[in-house]
Amino acid sequence: MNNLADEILMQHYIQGDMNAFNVLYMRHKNSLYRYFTRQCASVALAEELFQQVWVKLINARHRYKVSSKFSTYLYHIAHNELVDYYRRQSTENKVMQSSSAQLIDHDDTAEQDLLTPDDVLHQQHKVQQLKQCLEQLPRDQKEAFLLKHEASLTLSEIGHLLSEPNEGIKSRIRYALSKLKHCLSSKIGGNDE
Amino acid sequence: MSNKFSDQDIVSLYQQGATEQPSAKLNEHILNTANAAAHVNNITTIKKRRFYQTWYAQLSTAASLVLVAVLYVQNTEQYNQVPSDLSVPKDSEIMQHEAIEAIHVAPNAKDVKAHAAMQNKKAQQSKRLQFEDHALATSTALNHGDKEPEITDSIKQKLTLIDELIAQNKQAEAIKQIKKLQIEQPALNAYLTKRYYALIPQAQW
Repeated sequence: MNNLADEILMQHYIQGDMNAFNVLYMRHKNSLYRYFTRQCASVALAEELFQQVWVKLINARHRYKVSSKFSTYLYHIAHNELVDYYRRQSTENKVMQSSSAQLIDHDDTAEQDLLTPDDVLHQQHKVQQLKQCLEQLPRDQKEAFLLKHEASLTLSEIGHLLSEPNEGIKSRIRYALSKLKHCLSSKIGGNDE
Repeated sequence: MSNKFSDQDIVSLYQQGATEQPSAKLNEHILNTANAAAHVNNITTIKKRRFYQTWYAQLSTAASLVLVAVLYVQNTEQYNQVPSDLSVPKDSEIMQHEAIEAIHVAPNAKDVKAHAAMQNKKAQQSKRLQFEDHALATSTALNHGDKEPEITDSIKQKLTLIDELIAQNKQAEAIKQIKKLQIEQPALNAYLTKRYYALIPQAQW
């Protein structure tokens, strides 16, 4: 079951196979969750939207067509949820004001085991700084960056999802990376000094 | 300052920090929702069977097929049967039928007599028509070469002459002779056409 493609798993689930949904959920839950936590004002709100996306997917499962990639379909629902949320709030300024310290981090990579405690702390610091920089990005750039590096969608898939030309998406991601680099350099540099 | 980090560094740093996960409670809630939906789906599938899957649909389809097959077989036999007496009804039958009809229509004795007279007239007329038909058929048969016309010795000589002319490749003269013979013996028209049609191309006639 684990080797099956998302689209096949979804079809199995439509036919009533719960194991297929379990696999599908485990594959996509973390990235989708982070997609919301990076863009929402609070973890509670991110969890609410995350849950709504899955519930919508479950309820609308019979409308799913194999011709579309499952992840694109999932993030399409997620994007619409987020847009609806922004509309409900009538503002885009309520995005992520709280500190990312609320989020639980588990820095247990093998690479970090080889580093000294100071290096690990420094690395963790950089990660935290990057998260703060990410919060400061404009919403469209942040979403494009997350869809690319969190959801692993291609440029054309992101373009299709956001109804934007590929070139526009490419430049959004480029600007996002550039701003992140600049922000991180200024933060790390400032701290180093 | 921004050159300090490459794109790869940023992505790598981001992925290092991307460790947030939904809570176990949230996972459980979503999986339960999915499970309930799948369960409902299964029940619905059992309840709402498609029309063609029901026993009555299958039975009615089978009955319809049998009915159509029976009708087809019956009608095919009827159409294939050509009754021996299907041709034009005989004159006597027609007359009989007409006489019966006349009795029903005109029950008076006078009318019956008048009708009988008319029937006689019709019978005579019918006989005359039959004779004319026979004569016409005989003449048509002669024209189409069904019967060999009576060929006298003088005609035989002329035919031999025409054959010789054709053999000598004197077709123009042969045609003249044929035409002459046609004028003299119009009854031989069909015979001559049949006999010399293959020898002399039609364009020359």
